[in-house]
Amino acid sequence: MIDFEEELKKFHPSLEVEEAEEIIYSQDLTDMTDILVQLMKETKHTQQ
Amino acid sequence: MNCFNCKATLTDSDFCTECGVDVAVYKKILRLSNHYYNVGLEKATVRDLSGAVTSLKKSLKYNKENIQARNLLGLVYNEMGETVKALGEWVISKSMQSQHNLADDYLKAVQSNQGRLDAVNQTIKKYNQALLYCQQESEDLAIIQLKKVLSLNPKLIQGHQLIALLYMKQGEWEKARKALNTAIKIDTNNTTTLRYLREVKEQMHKGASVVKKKSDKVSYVNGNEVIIQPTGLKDFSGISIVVNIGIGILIGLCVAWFLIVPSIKQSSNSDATKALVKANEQIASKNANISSLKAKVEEAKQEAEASLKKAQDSEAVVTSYEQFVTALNAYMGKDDNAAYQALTAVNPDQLSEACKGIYETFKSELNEKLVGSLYTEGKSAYYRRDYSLAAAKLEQVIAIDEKYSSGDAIFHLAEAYRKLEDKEKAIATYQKVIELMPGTAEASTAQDYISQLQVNENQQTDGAQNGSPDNGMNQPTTE
Repeated sequence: MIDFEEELKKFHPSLEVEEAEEIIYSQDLTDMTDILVQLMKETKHTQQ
Repeated sequence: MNCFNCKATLTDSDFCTECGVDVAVYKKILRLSNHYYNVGLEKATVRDLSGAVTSLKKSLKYNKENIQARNLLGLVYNEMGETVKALGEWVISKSMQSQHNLADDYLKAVQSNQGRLDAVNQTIKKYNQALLYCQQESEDLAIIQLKKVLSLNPKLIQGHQLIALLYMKQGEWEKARKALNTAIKIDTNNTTTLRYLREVKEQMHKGASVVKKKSDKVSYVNGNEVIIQPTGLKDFSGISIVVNIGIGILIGLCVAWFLIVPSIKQSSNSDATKALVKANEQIASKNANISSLKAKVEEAKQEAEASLKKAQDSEAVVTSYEQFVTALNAYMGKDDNAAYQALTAVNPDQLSEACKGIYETFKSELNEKLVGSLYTEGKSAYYRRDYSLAAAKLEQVIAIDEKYSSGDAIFHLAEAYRKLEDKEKAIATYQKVIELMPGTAEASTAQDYISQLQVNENQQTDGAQNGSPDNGMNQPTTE
């Protein structure tokens, strides 16, 4: 049996057009490549 | 494929030919990103939009610069009604690759139509408002708002899911099912939609063909139609019909009595008043006419009387002239009596002045001639002891001239009466003699005869009372 209140919590307000810019800038764009580069840099520092 | 360190083009080797960095892991990461992109593309192709979103997000987690994956993610978001999210992805894509990027076209398509963008914004605001209503437990308002949202943006998956959830809370399973079916057509494998749909189907099966709701309504599923009927509605058949008809008639009568009848009465009173005023006006008008006509009648009457009088006067004038002419003719024919008779019928006032003069002359001449003749005839008759004829002739003389022949004519007339034993006329005539000739011998004699006649009359009265009649008249001492 579905719990209305619990289900309702899963719905979030949609982003309005005015908020689009803010959302774009605040989006975390870090990907696996960034992590890889970071790891390699850290490894290099450790070796030095 | 470029080296992440020096951006040189990579070969099949696991190391960069330019900077010598180990790119084996990097290559695997890029391959994974591409793999998830392919999966996302496949899912998007079969309209598994939510699945596609998941795969494309994963693809971008491995390689944020996978432009195709980002563009596709924006496209899927747009298809799901999440326009703002789509715009976000396309903007990022454009910032990463400004040249030869499909995102550029998408952005232009969206931004070129400002009306559509405003509509999208309004839709989002309404959706958020509906969500707020849900949190405030104003489900009915939320449903109304969501219906508006979905009419503007029918692809909004979240909108369909939320309205279905509200219907489910209200127990309107059929409506919920319809909303979910619409959602599933847009996004075929959305787990939330599928979960709700399964719940709806279970509930509908539980209730078999009739599902009793929490509210005071019962829903019937009849083919594709859903019939909703209040539970309080009971079939009382004939009795309820009769009662309802009775109540209806009663209400109708009340309405007629309190609303229609007063207006009819007022209308009729108003009509009667108007009719009365009109009748009074007519009466006043007719009275005025009658008065006018009466005045006219009176005037005509007076005119007629005047005309009649005038005619009568004219006739009298004519008659007078005729009689005057007749008298003249008779006189010329030696018939003095006829002339006298005709002349007496003439009214001298109606004759002209000239005729009047002739009349007077003629009359005096005729009288003189006639009176002389009559007097002679009367005296002759008197002496022949024909007293009746004498009285008749002398009467005519007296009628013309009372003092004719120095009162001799009237004296002899009185004598003739006495001889005829007409005491009253005799006494009256003797009285006249005394009046006309006072102090004369005839007056004295007349007085004697009067006394004698009165005594005789008294004696006759006494004699009649005593039984000794004496009808004789004493003769005068003088003759």
